[in-house]
Amino acid sequence: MWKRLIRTRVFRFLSSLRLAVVVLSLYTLFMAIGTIVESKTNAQYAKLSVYMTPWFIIIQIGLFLNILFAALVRFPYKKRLFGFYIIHAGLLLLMTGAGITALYGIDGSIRLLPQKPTNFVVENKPTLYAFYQSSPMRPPSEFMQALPQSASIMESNKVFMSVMDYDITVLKFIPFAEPTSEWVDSPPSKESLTLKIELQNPNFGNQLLTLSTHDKEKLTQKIGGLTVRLAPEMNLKCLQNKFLSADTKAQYLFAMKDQCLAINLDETPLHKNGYRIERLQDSSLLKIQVTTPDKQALVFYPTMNARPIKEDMTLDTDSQATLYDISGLFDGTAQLIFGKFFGESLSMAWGKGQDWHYQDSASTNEIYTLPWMSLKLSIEEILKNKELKTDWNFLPPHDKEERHFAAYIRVQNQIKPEDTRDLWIDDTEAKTVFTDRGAVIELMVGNTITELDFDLTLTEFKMNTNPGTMDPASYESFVDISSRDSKNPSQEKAHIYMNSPLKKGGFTFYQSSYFDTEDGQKGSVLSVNRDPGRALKYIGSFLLVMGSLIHFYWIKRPKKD
Amino acid sequence: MLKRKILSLLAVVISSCLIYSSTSQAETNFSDFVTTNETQSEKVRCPSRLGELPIQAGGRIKPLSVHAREMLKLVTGKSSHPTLSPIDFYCRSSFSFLTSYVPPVKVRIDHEETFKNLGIKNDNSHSFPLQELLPRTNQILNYAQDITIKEKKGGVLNDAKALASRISGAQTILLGQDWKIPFVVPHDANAPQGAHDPVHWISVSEIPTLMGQPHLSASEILAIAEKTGLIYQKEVDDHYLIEYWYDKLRPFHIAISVLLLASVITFLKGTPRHKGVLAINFLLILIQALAIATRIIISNRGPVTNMYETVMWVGFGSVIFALIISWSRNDKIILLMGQLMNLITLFMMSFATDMLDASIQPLVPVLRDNFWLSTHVTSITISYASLALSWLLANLYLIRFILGKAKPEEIDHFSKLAYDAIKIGVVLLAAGIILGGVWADYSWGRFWGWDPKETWALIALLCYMIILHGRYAGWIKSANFLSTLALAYLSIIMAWFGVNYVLAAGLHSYGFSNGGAVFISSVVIAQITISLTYEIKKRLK
Repeated sequence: MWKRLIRTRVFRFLSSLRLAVVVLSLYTLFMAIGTIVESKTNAQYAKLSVYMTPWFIIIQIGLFLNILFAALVRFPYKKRLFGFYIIHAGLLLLMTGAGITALYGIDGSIRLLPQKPTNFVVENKPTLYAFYQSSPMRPPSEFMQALPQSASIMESNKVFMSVMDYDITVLKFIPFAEPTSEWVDSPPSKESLTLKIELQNPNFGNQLLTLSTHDKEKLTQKIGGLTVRLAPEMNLKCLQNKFLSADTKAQYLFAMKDQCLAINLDETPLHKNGYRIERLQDSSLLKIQVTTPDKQALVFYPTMNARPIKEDMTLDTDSQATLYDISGLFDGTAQLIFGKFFGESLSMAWGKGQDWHYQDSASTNEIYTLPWMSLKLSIEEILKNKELKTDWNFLPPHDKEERHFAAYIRVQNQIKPEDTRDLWIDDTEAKTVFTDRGAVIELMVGNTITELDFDLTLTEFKMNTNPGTMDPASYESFVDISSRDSKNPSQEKAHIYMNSPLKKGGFTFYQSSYFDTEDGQKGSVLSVNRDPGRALKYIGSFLLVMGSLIHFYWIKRPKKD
Repeated sequence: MLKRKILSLLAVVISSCLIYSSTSQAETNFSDFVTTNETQSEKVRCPSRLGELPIQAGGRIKPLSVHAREMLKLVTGKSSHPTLSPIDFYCRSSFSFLTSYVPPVKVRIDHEETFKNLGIKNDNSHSFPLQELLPRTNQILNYAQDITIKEKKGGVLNDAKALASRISGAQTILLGQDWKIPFVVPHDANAPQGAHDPVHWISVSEIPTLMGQPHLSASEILAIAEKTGLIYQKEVDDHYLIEYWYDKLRPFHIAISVLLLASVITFLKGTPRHKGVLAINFLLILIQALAIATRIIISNRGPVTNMYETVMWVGFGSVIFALIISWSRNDKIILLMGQLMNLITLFMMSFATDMLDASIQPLVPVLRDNFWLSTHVTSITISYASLALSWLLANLYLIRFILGKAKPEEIDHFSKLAYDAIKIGVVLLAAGIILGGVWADYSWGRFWGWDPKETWALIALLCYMIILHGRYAGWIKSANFLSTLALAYLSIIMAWFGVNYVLAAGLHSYGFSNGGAVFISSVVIAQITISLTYEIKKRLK
């Protein structure tokens, strides 16, 4: 029976030396190409465009089958082939282990900021994330789905994921993306202001800054010891009034026509110049009501917007009144603020502590000298009602450069199909889509995250250098591990350094590198691993080496001619 | 016949003496012949005994003689100078802050483009007097910075970077900031252990101010340096003196002479089991073993972390494996091939100094204290040694065939020997690749990551596997076995040098150099020429 089986054509083909030589040659060729691709691009691109392609996987499966059948065809057992059996068994185990690792293993990293508990393991694989929030008072619900890994653009028109009653289709996914952007007119409903300024200083040279109302993170920017802000609705004249800067405890500035009031929330309710200011307690968001002398009640949510909110919860764009957060403005650091817009020019103020300068017609043609470090300021461009339109293009990496993930997606209402929006999302920040019921969907494509069921907190990071140099000799992280399971909390400490990893919860944590945090401290990067195929790979490797020794040196074969 | 033997022996002795004396020339003290341009009346005398002083540089304590030569090489591009000994160069330059002495050396600039971009005249010598470059220091540093932004890689960028590091290295020495002198702080019995560093390293230019004697002369500072150096040697550590003697004795140059003698004796005596043959080959192995052991003691780690050390290790391994195989087969040809490989590696170590950096440097963190790293690299590189034997044997046959001297029975004879070498090589290479996986798993938590160095090692292994399977299948018969083996070693050359010098990518990023790519292409071209000529000649027959 066995003998007849191994004489079948399929069996003979799969076990043939001819197949072995062909498959090995192809395998070698692909690998050589892979290393060349890697040297011209980067490791991730080489992995996706060579080592993880179906072709390469088919070759490896072919190799696996060939090894398996070459062994089977040489049964029943012959003593002189003992080493041969062991070698082939070792190879099969090794390849099985590698397959298990590829399918079920985790190979990521974790970034630890000093003293900040973290449980996110990040892997360089794309995932689409959506956060649905029906109202600001409710916690968002999270949706995520892994995108397929590929080295080239993937297009599709199938629904990829559903977020409540919205369908999301990934029309185009770009795994190696670079942005190109241009300024276009924004729709009239959206008022916006973007400033491009240049700061010059003999020490740091020229520095270009872009401030924009499109981007909350770009409203306040720090450069050296200087804070630059864009507050297009702020009445900067108020800053000239000495009373304001003298009141260093003021947290908010209320302005209406020529009236400026400094507000300290700890002192509310407050009566000033006929205005009554009180803090309303009925919500989780900070809500402040200002009653004017003519009994008009203005309600502000200062963390959301500087303008008052009408009763129907919409923004009162006609109102002259604004309420600004000014904490940090008078802390003695240098401040530069761009405020109200008049015709073609801006209002602008700079100051430090109690000493402020106001300028109400800053234009693009002048150079202003600031009183610190001989700083020179020029306004390069004022873009009113323009928005930055970003397109993403497929660009394979050159010379080890890192690239972004980007996807062009369609968000479509299941009930009302005409409610459809197409937009780009990427891995730099979440994009917001407002739904017809006032709910918000935030979307982004990013690295795949695995959550650990315990937190790691970096308590100390040490870097030792070689004597007399700044070259690092070793890095060490001291980490607190605390369980996230509130029922049985536990706490332990670990010391992770080169070649001394931490093993916890099926994961192994290796000291990998470090980074500088914004406040000049050091954060630590650990590589995190889970490898269910490890044991098989080790047993297979051991058998392979033992088998070759037996095959070459132990078994005396009859002399071949 | 006897006359021929005596003549060849004589030739070996004379040539080895020449090699030894030519390479140790730099040790002679030339200070008396040098015309100086010290502006002050004082002329700094730098005796060669200064070489025994300790110096802290590059994160290590080493003897001044070694550091002086490394700095001479850093600044000029060569480790010796026709009129100036390295110690003279280093020591007198270090007091330039007092004497305004500028050494009469020329700085190497490889690229025409660099001369052009800097606007300096090139007299076709690819070097430029240091004296004329120093006023341009800022221009050169800015130029290097600009070109780094403009170009991401390439010869011009490398040259600009090299020039910038040469000129800033020279500046540091001339300002008296490079030579650091140890001041041993008297031990405080009450202080807890390790509470303070017992040695302070102070640069020579800081000494006058620190000692409160701003008018100290160069020779007085030199006297202080000698005194503190001796105190350091006595009270703290004299480990670095091993390196001084290692450097002075040049064991690998001695090995070249012994090797040449061993080859002649092996060639003349009919059998490798002859006592004289065994004795001289054991001596050859012993010298290299001692040299490698000394290097391990000096650097406090396995000899496996840069290209120089892998070449050293391969040469050592090839002569050992050749001796084993030739002993068991009672055949001297493979022993001669082993010696040839050893000779090639020793010549590379002595003369290809651009490609192979002999200096001992501290390890990058991930390579430290690692048992797996040492076993992995030694195993892989020594497999290159064994496979090299099959490569040279195969080429010996091909060349003999081309010259029309090959006898038919040689095919079988050489194939048998080559197969012996491959058996060792393949097992060690497979084990080495696996140990590399174990090491990567131990250090990073992943067994395999398609890093170019590991991928090429696997490619090389599979190339030999293809040949072995082809041989089992009966496709690669007789002379074809040898001709494929000659080509297969190119995969090893690629894994060994090509990944670093041609692909220059990945984690195993030690030892980048300009000379490497040229070396690899010449080996590849030579091999392809031999193989092609052989094939053509075979077809014609």
